[in-house]
Amino acid sequence: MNSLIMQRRVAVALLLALTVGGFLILFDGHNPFAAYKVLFFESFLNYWGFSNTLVKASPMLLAGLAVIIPMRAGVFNIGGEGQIYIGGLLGAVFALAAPDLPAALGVPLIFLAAAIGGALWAAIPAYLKAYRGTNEVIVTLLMNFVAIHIVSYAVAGPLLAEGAPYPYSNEVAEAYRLPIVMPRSDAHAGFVFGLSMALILYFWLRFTPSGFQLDLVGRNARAAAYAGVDQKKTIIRAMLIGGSLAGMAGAIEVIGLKYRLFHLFSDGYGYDGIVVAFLAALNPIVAPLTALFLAGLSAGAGTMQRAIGVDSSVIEVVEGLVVVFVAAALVAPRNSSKPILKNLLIGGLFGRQKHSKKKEA
Amino acid sequence: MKNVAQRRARIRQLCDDFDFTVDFNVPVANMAVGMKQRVEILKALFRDVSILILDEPTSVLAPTEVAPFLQGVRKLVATGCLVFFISHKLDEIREIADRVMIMRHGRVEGILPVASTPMAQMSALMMGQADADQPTEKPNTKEMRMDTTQAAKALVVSDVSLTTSSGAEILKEVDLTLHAGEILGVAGIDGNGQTELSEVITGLKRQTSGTILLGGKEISGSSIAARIAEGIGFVPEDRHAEGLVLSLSVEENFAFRSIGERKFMSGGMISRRAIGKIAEDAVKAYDIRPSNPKLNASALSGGNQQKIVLAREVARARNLLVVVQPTKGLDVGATQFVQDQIRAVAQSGVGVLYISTELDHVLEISDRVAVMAFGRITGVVNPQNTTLQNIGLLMTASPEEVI
Repeated sequence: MNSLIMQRRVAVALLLALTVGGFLILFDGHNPFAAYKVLFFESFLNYWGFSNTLVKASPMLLAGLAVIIPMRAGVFNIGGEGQIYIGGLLGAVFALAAPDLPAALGVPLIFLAAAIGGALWAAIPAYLKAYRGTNEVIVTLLMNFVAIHIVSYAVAGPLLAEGAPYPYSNEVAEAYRLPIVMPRSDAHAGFVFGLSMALILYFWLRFTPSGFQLDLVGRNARAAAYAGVDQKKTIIRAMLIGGSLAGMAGAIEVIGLKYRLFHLFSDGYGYDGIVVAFLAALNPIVAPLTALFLAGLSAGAGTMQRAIGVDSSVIEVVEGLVVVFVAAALVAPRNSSKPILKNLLIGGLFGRQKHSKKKEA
Repeated sequence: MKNVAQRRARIRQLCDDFDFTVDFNVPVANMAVGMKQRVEILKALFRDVSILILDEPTSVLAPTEVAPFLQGVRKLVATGCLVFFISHKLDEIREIADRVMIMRHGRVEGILPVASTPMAQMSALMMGQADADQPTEKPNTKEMRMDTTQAAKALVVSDVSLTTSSGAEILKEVDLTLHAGEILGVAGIDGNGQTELSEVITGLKRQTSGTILLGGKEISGSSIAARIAEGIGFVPEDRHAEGLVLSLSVEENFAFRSIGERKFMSGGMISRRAIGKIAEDAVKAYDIRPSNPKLNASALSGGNQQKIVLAREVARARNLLVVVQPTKGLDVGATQFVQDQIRAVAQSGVGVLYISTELDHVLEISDRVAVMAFGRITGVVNPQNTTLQNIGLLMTASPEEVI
């Protein structure tokens, strides 16, 4: 499918999700326009609110890119969450083990350790997919739970800080902490890093042979083989890149925000990344925008509840609706006149895959 | 049939009646194809069918399995069952059938008693009877052909065999020599190894044994990318699924098969401008419509899509052009255009391997024609002085008759 058509459909899907959400707010006895106004004002136009949005958008953006790159090669990486955990673990272990390096050396090495962690975690499903034909969705998903528990074990045991009331590690050295981009707030440079990654990946896919060939495998695997592209190696490469991006999201949480490795430190950012990726129609350069949008929804929900009295769970419903509508929009047939509504009713909800954009007849 | 034991007993009875060996304890997925075929037949027998339609039933059987299978079918006929046996193997028809209906291009050419009809007549009907015993010479093309047999060898395929993991022999000891500037046609009924031959030569499949020389240089083990770089152009059979990426633009389709080549790059990056320029020139030269190279390839008609593939591969073919079914689904005008382009490539000194099931086209364009049946080359003929009847016999030759 043409990416312009995809982006237009995604935009319509978003509007529909917000409209349905608006009715829910209305039924809850509140003015939806006022609620949305507060939501977006607080998330994007208020200094503290926006800093909060940025803090959430950083891991969401990297996790989104971690879905986009494998998906462009035809592999669905649901394992961002686990890759974030293993990345955060290795990043934290390195930071704690070598606390005295200069920042200019230490920070890149922490990112490297985290990237390796995420990539290793992604390498297992990648190998199984490429060489054993195992379904990557199931393997990546289940490995998330393993990763979360590995981190829980690590911070409850070997890495547990002395006298800690809660499973967390010691603090990382001050030199390693990411700079704050909005003074007096928590907003660290993580989003800037994600933004540069998005740009690099966009140019890689568009202007280098290896990136172009990765995309080719996702568009038409047989044509890629005909062009001499090794599908198995491409799957592995795409998953390693995805895993390292998610791994670095883990490092950003550790050295950017919490300065420690916490038990359950990622609140589903890996899954948010899936929404970010599809909202961006799998285009890396659009991902920063969709990450900000999703982060804004989530950051503004609490404020909206306090200001208007709308239960913040309505926003969770809106987030869910966004997923459903966008999924329906992306499986819509090429020439359908009312793709989103129709597919939501007859296709999207029942997982009809016939018109999936990744498959070419 | 109340329970499993009773059903088993009945199936065993059927196996005994028809001399079928079936292992009851092996899942069907793990069976050899011959046994799977027997299971299929057993299913039909088990349901007490009165009409049984078999479509090329022996195509997946090993030669040793064919005779018992045919005996089984005959036993079934003896019980009063009516059998339609669809096959392109005339010797099978002769062995099994009482009457034969011969079809060609969707038309019934004749219904004949098998016992009193000579093989040659059946073959003639299959190939189109009118001029079956006349030489196939086309006077208007004869003068244009030059003698290329003295030219350098563009491609030498020696003793190439391909056996699948399940043991089916797709290619058997194939020998071919193609000279520079020559068009070597490969004729045969669909599914006799022609597609696989093209894939082995271009690197998509790896032969089980044998060697391939391109201009005297061995490429038997080279990767697809290496063969592309050696100047092998390849127009695959399925342009939609293989030759094109429909979700990419027309101009990207000109570049995707060798995106890293210098002509598509500038300063280490893919140059969209260079790709656009190359595509624009090709779109003009081949009159591809609509002429906007930014459109998705899916927006073009089949003929224009085929022109993209042809233009791209002709431009790449410095030493060898392999084309498979290049005129499939094209109208007369588009077919003529494709043939003209292929002739022009050959004229420029490239060896062309022209694989098609459209015999008329093969005979018209080729300097020599190799005929394939059952993964073997059953003969190489000169289209100027052979007969359709002769080619028909080569196309339907059974494995035992070959050499």
